[in-house]
Amino acid sequence: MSAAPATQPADSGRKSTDRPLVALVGNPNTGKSTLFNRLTGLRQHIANYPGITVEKKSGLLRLPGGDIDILDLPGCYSLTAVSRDERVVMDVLGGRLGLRRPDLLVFVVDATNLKRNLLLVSQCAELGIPALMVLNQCDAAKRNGIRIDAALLSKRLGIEVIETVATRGRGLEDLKKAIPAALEKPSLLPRIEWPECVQHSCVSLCKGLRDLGQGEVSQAEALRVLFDSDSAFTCDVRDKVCLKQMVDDAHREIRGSGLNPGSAEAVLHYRHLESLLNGVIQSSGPVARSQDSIDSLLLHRVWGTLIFLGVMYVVFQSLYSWAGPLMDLIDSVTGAAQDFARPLFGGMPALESLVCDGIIAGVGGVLIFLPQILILFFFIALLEDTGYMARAAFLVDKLFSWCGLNGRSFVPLLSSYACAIPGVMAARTLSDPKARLTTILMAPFMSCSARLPVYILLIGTFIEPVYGPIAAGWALFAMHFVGLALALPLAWVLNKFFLKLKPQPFILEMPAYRVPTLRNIFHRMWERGREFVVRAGTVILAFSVIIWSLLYFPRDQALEEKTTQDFVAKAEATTTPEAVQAQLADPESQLSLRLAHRIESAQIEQSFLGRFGHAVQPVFDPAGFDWKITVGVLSSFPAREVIIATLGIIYNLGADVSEGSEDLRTVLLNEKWTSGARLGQPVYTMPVVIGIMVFFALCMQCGATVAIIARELDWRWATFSFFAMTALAWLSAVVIYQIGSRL
Amino acid sequence: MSHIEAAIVIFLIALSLSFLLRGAWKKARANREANCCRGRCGCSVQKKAAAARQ
Repeated sequence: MSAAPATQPADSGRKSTDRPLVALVGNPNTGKSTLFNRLTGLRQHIANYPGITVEKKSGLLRLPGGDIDILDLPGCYSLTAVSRDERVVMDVLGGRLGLRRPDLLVFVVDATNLKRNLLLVSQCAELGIPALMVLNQCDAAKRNGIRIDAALLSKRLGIEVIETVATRGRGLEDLKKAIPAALEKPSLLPRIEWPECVQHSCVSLCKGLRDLGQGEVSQAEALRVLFDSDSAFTCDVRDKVCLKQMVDDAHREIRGSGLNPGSAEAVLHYRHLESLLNGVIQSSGPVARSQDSIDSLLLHRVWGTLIFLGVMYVVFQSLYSWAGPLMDLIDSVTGAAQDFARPLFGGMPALESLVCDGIIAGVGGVLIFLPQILILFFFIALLEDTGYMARAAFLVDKLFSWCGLNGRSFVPLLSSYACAIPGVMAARTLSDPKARLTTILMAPFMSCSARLPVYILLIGTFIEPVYGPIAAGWALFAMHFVGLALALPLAWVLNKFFLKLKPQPFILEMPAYRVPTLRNIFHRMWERGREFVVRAGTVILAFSVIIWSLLYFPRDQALEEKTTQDFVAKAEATTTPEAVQAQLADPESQLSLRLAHRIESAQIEQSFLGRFGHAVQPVFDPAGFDWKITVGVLSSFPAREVIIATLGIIYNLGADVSEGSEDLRTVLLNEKWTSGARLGQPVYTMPVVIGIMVFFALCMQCGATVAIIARELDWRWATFSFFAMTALAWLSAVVIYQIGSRL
Repeated sequence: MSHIEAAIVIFLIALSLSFLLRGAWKKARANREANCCRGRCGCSVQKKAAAARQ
């Protein structure tokens, strides 16, 4: 097969005032996002497994000669777009999605697997867009005994080839020089010379599509229609019957020439590449790869699973062991801030309460969990960077296959452990719409980092002091699997009775093991930590003010007087009226402080939120939740972490001073029922505590996740997901309490 | 509660409420833009999004 001469570049529609648009294209996990981050200074999420980028991201490359727009595209193995993320690539290369076609394609190619990577490059040659090539991961290729003659490759392809190691920043300066040079003096890739039958079929398809009202159709587009039945281009064709007839006729013609239309494209491209790569790659024979021996252990059915469970346990145990001193520090800073702020509002009790009991208690209560968030993301980034996560996906394939999912769902579900939003979006990599739907519906069940503060608070308060830190570590470990344990049977029910999803083979390219880069790990920790702090300083702060106001108002003067009278009467029953009056005259005395807190407790019970909590509490009564927990649960529907702020405000406003501490954990331990059949009994019994945690593990308490499900699917599925998860969470909490309280 | 104190408290509550509502509104708008067809229907949401991109 010979190469056809390169023709003139296709018009990108660029105006003279537009910045040049450069797209990074390549197979998954070749380092496109790493390169994008290096070029633009942005911090896209990167990891050592395929399918991280699922949508186009744009950034700016600042160069002395002028700025350039850089697009980071999802990885794809070929132009046959099956999944939604691959369609994004087709849409961008075809100039859809409201963007003009790129002025330059930068092919990011994995040097350890050059030939397979070049299939996409060879296909893209048809588009007629100027290109240059980045030969990334050159260090890994050298370690594997692969030598690539970059100069010869450049000569054969007719484009510039730059050798890089993106993770270390090597070769970046060369690339920064090559991009403007390639824009200045565009070079095109050599096109494949198609056999007569394919060329004739393309001409017929171009004419047929023109007759169907598709306008001028290029050979590249006709080729996609010919070889790709789900081509993004054919989506726009209305007359599907006529289109199918045309494609069938073209396939018949190709078959008549002795070629299989299903495999002809790949076969012809690989033949073309064989001739191009002759003498370019020199391999020093099979290199003994330590990776294989590590894989034989990590992917072992028994040992691999045990190692996986062990690794996960170590992660969750570390959250406890390492975070303690930092949490104590943040707690003492919060306390000091309250002590500092209180005297500043002399004579303004409402404002003092708003700042100290509302803002500082609310935000500080959430911020205290920052160390755990940082430690969690340290481990996630470490495991992702080493390439272990791809192995974990392989291990859980068996676990997922019985319920209709497969290991490909692992990446979205794993992402959901950090946050359900990227998890839902990562489901775009699933080509089967039913598998994608199931994965999206299961993603919010995974225990996201917003649930972590709730678990830490309750486990640290009720389980750790009684059963010790090891049991606390196990409890935290178990809580992270409650959602998964329920999601899998639910996925089975959904597939068995409604979606009837056929089993699918799971193919995942195992990335090479790499030494994690500190830069990436700390970027990940910084990004998530920053997001957490910003969230605490914005959304949680605003919610704290609203919740405080709903708990503070209305203030009832008559109630205050009545509470004082009752309190004084009770106090006078045990001592003389003169002694009581003398103690009450001193605002720092124990009796005065107790009276003040008794009044606060009475006031918040009749506040707007207090009344609302009392009204709704019967719904949660079967789960053993009192009105304060009910208020916490309801206020956390927009965002889970709000419960910590809410409880912090409720208990900070109405805590009984005799308990000797304003620390939320101590107050929770001493909280008792103030009315009803359980009067005087502790509110937070073990069944209630477990019920709350399971409720939070299963409930859809995240407005942003509901919105993203509506965006990725539609509002009906988002509504279904919200109500189904909430009902399941309530039911689970009720069952746990009812069974637990009878044991 | 003095007038100044009441005014500050009301201002802070209003500020928080408007911040939350603005965030919800922006999210809903982004959602509508993302769900909208790719410029084929010519609705106002899409036109504004296209103008912003320009």
